[in-house]
Parts: sequence; structure tokens; C-alpha cells
Amino acid sequence: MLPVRKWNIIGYRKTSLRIALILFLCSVVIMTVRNSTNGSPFNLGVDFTGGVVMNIDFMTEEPVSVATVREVLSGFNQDGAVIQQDKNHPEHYMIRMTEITNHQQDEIFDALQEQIGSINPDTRQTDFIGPTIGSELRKNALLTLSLALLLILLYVAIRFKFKDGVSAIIALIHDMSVALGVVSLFWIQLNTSSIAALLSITAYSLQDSIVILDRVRENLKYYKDKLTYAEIANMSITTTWIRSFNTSVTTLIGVLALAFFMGSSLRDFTTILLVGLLAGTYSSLYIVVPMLVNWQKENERVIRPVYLNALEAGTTTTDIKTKKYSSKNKDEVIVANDLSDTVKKTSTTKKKNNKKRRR
Amino acid sequence: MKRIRWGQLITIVVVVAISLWSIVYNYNSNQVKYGLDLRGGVHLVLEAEAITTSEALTEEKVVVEETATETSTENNANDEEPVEKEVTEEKLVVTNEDLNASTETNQITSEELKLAKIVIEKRINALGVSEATVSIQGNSRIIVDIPGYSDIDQAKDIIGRVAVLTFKDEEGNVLVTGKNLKKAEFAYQQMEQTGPREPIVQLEWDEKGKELFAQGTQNNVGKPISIFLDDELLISPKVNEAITSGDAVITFGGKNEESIKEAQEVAILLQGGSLPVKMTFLEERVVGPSLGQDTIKNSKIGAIIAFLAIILFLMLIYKMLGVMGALALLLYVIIYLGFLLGIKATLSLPAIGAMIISVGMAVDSNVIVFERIKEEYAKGRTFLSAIGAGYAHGWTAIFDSNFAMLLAMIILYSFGTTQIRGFAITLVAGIVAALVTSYFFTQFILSFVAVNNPKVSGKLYGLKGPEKDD
Repeated sequence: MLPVRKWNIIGYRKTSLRIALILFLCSVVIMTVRNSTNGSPFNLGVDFTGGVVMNIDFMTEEPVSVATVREVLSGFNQDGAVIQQDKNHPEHYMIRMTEITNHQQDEIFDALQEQIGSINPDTRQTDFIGPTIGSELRKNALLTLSLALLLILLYVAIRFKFKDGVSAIIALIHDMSVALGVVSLFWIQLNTSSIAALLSITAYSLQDSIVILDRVRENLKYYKDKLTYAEIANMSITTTWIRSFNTSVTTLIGVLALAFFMGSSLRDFTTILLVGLLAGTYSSLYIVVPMLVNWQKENERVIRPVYLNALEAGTTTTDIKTKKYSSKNKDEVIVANDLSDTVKKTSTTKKKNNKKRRR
Repeated sequence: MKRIRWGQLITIVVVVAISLWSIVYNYNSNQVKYGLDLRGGVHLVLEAEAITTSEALTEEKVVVEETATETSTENNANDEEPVEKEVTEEKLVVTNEDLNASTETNQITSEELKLAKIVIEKRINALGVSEATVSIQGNSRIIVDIPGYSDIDQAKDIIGRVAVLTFKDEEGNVLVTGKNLKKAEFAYQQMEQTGPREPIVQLEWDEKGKELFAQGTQNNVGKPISIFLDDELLISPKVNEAITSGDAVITFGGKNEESIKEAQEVAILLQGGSLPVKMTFLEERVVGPSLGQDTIKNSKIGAIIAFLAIILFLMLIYKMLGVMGALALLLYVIIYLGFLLGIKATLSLPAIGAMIISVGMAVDSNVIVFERIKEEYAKGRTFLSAIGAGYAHGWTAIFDSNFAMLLAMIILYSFGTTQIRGFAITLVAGIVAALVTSYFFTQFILSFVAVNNPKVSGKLYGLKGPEKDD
């Protein structure tokens, strides 16, 4: 078992938040650079932009598989091409790609001929094709997403606190931008399936953040008067750390199986999921609660038990209160265990001392 | 907290039984729907005005403009405009140069093509065919992809059916049909001398239509008239006064962007009821899955291996608790599939994304509770009490995270496109199935074990008691 309980995650919150900020800024820079060099931050797929459609007949003896056609196309940065094979006439293929020049079209035809087999020359032509996701639909989708985020914010604000909601949304934005940064960097084509992957990330990130927030909420209820907000926060993160880790691993198993067995046709889909999964796990542990601690300055002035103060000051002596405290309530001793081993040691040594004294 | 909840068991047994039935029934009757990417479907190419040749088109690259929504209007204002007295119409500037292409030749305008696309989309959506896509190809063709269908005739039937435009009164009596509608156009109209220009739709009837429309409006002054395209209600404007001239105007109460958009859409659909272009089927094909047959076969293997790996992982970490979790996951898969097949959801790539996430969520519910049980046991609770506490404390986290997700998915479903809808519905199904199995089922089975064997070894369940002081 990992020694998670002793980790001081909140203590390093400046570093962890800085890492998040840097990741976010990197994504923004990548998108800006792409925007100025490629004219758009993202590689919009044929669903968005429209493009060309090829209707070709292969003249090979054996029917050609979709996978081999895709293999050839991915060499031309057309990973997101929609490839359809006629079931009744397997030699016939319909391929939809983003807009390309005449020269590139010829290159693709030649590559297909070279690597797969000859194509009926009568079918060596292309036609323009319009987008299936029009500009209106795109605007609508953005609006929908914003509305969904707003509702989440509202729900978390009601069930938790407003700040918690803001924090969760910021984590979500972080995860999305990191994923989008990767999409932009590797020029992954945005199509319906990559949008689905991005949505999945949002769902995952949200789930992860709320589970941690729930723990903070619960611990606040029990320890509000005994510990500082930062201490409660650290305890909450460390106790849910294993859960976050285990859940991420199981989800990762699913994603990796998909990546491994479904191969190149799903490479973009699984890449986005993978990046989002890592970002989502990071943000829930190292962004959501640390950010809340930063916003919680006024809570630093809190009444604390004497023994904790003494502990921090390094004087582990005196005070019978510790013993009283530990014998009174089991749960509260555990807090001490969570915070530091020294607390336990102190109490045990004290017990021993007491025993000696009695003798 | 400590008693066994038999109600949970009964619920689960019933749900699993229904799910199993749904799976068997849908598989046997071959009603599982897959998206174009997973199974393929029917691919149709429609040609508007069949004579244009594709050779000619590839030479002249005329790009179809997506945003061509503005239409030109003829200045045919007359004094008998029924709605307002002093009507000043303004001619709209033609922004799309393609519109200048003469309509007398075989060439159809991009506006007409776009209109045809919208009508076909509406028609397919009205029939509840999920995840169908319609796109414009070249400048005279429309591609329609309908996933999951293999019956070309049935698909052609859906699209080829002529949409009927009907005007009905409150009782549902048909007053007049689209056959007699000569023209429906979007325009702007100045309501008062100094007032704002409001979006309107102008209607123009032929002789017979004029008569029927006059009669219909006479009988329904002050009441709404509903306009249907097939079975879909487009709009039901109120009749202000009897309209006998044959020219009518529908106003949309405002000049904001929304009413402009609505007016444009209604105009297009009213006009589309009497499609100006002749559509013929140029190509009809049954296509294979766009992801490729091999990929599909591999994905099944991948899913099974992922499932086994997750189960193994759970058992390794949580011992007997993990076994319970694995059992729950098995039931989860049954309920999940049963539900998806039951509601006839289309299984496609977005849905697979949702599935992976929801499997993660199902396991997550388990992990949250199991970790909590471990913690509580380590505090010195008994096995039974640790289980009770684990489920009680885990509940708020599970409830809140799932409920927030549910809200988000409802929004996505109500406003999203068909594919996004597919995603949302798949995820919601996953949330519900996960809750039933990973929370309620494991809660039942663990409390059952704990109550009946109070001295069960915590070690067997991967639990460690409190570290002893002495």
C-alpha cells in the first residue's frame, strides 16, 4: 500500500497549481500558433467543413478491406476520413475527406493504386461534399455545452458551496483545454467521434471532482472546529487518493483495450480519452481542493486543540488533554493518525509514561 | 442500517430478468441498431434535376454556400395586405451570388438544394431514425446516410414520400393543403412608419387556395390555424381577420434574431412542402461499417479482455470485496445492454465512449464504498458496522456525482444533435445501471454476508483492523 496518508499535498499546492496553469497556457499557446499557421486552432473534420468525396472501384481480385484503405489515407493526414464499402459490391468504396487540392487528390489515387491495387480509371474523380454539422449546429452545440456547465455549477453550488462549483468548473476547463491542446498539437481531426471523446472527458472530470469535494464537505462537518481548512483539505485528498488512482486504472484498462484492439481507426478517439483521463485525475486531486484552500484565507484563524499547536511547535510534552481527547472519541484519534505519525507516537509514549508513573 | 434489505434483491432480480429478456428478444428479432461506423447502413445519393452531369461539375468548382439563408423578395406589396395598413417592404440585397444563376436551366440554385436538404432532414427526424446524416454533394446532389438499415426500399420510401403541408383549424379539420400554395417567402416588413423592420413570411395562394383560405380564415377569426408538415406542427398563427385576397403574412412578434431565424425556417419548410426541385435517386447502396469489419470483430475481443482485466484488478486489490464488485459488474453489463437494446439506442462510436466512461463510473461507485469500508474497519469498527458506514458515507459522493452528470446529460439530450443525444442517452443508462448494481446490489450481498457470519474474517475481504497500540 502506498504511504499516501502522510503526503502533504496541500503544502505543495503552489507547485501543483502552477503546473496546471503552465499546462493550460501551453495549450493556449499551441492553439494560437496553430491558428496563425494553419488558419484554425483545430483540424476540423469533413463533418464540419465539408470536403471531397471519392467514389472508386478497385479492380483487385480479392476484396479490399477498410483497414488497408485507412492505412493509406492516414499517410495523407486523412485519419478522420469516412470510409464506406458497398456490401453488395465490395470493390466499390466511398471515401469522404476534408478539402484537398487537385494535386493531393492525384497523389492519393496513386498511393491507393500503388499500395492496394488498380482502380477503375472511370472512377478516378471526386466531387464536393457539404458539411453534416453546419455552422448553426456548431453554435448550438457550444450553447448546449455552456448551458450544461452552468447547470452543473448551479447544482454544485446548491449541494456544496458556490466556490466548490467554481473550482470544479475551473478543473473541467483545465482538462478540456489540455485535451484540446493535444488535439491541436498533433493536429487530430475533430469529428463526431472526437467530440464524443471530449464529452466523455468532461463527464469523467466532473465525477472525479465531486467525489473529492464530497469528502471535504464531510470532513468539514466533523473537524471544522478542530483543524484548519488546509489540514482538512489535505486529509480529504490523501484519503480519496487511492480511490482516484484505482478508478483511473480501471478506466484506463478500458481505454487501452480499445486502443490496442481497435487499432488505428480509433487512435484519435483513444488518444483524446487517454489525455483527458490523466488530466482529469490530476485536476481532481491537485487543482480542485488546493484552489479552494487558496480561497479560504479567513479560515486560518480557527480554534485548535492545544496538542496540535504543541506538535507543530515541536514541544511534544505536557498536557493531559491529549489523553482525554483520544480516549473520548475514536474517530478523532484517527485524525491525528492521518496527520502525522508523531501524534500517535506521542500519545503512545505518554501512555507508557503514565503506566510507569502508576507503577 | 444493519438489516438486510430484501427489497433491493427483489428489485435487482426483476431488473436483471427484464434486461435479459430484452437482450434475448432484441438479438433474436435482430433489432439491435448500430451506427454507420459499426454496422453500416443505407447510403443514398439523390439528384435534384437529374440531367446535370457530374463531369461538368467537377470542372467548374462551385462551392455550395452553407450560410445562404437570405432570400430575395419581389416587391409585390399591395394595399390589401391584411395584417397592417401601411406596409412598406424593402427588397433584400442578394448576398449569395449563386442565386444569380438562372433557374430556367437545369442548374438548381444552392438555395433550393439547401431547402431540399432541410426538408429531407426534417422528414427523417420526424420518423425517429436516429443518427442519420444528410449532406450536400457537389451542387445538385444530396447524400443521405441512414445507419442500421439494410432495406433500401424502406429507406427510399421514407425519403421519397412527398411531404404534405396542411392548414388545420382547432378541431383538426383540414382547411387547405400545400398543393394550392403558390409561394411562401421570407421577407422584412416595416410595421409602422418609424417602427422596426420585422421578419415575416408571405403566403401566396392560387385561385383554388385563395377561395379555401378565405373560407378557412373567415370561420376562424380570433382562433389559431395550425400548419403541419406531414405530422409535424410547424407553427400555429392566430387569424386576425378574414383574408380574401389570397395574400397573407405571418408575423413573428419581434425582430430579434430568434424570430428572424424562425421566420426563415418556416418559409423554407412551407415552400418545401411543395418541393421546387425534382429529386431522383441516383445511387442506392448498402454500405459496410466505416470502421471496417476487422475493427468490429477486434473490438468485441477488446471489450471482453477489458472486462476480464478490470475484474482481475478489482479482485487483486479488494479480495472478496472485489469478487462482489466483479459480480456487480457482470450484472451491470446485463442491465446496461438490456436497457440500451430496449430503448433501441443506436450503438456507435460516441456511444462506445460513453460506455467506457460509465464502466469506469460503475467501478468507481464500488471503489468509493470499498475504500470507505477499509477505512472504517481500520478505525476499529466491526465488519458489519464498517459495511454499514461505508455505504452510508459513500452514498453522498455517489449521489452527487451521478446526479450532476444526469443533469448535464439531460441538457445535452434536449439540445444536442443526434450523435450527442446518443452519447447522452448511453451515459444516462450507464449511470442508472451502475447505481443499481455497484451500489444497491453489493450493499445487499455484503450486508447479507455480514449479518449471517458476524465473525467473518476481515482479511478475506482485504480489510485491516486498527494498528494495536500495545
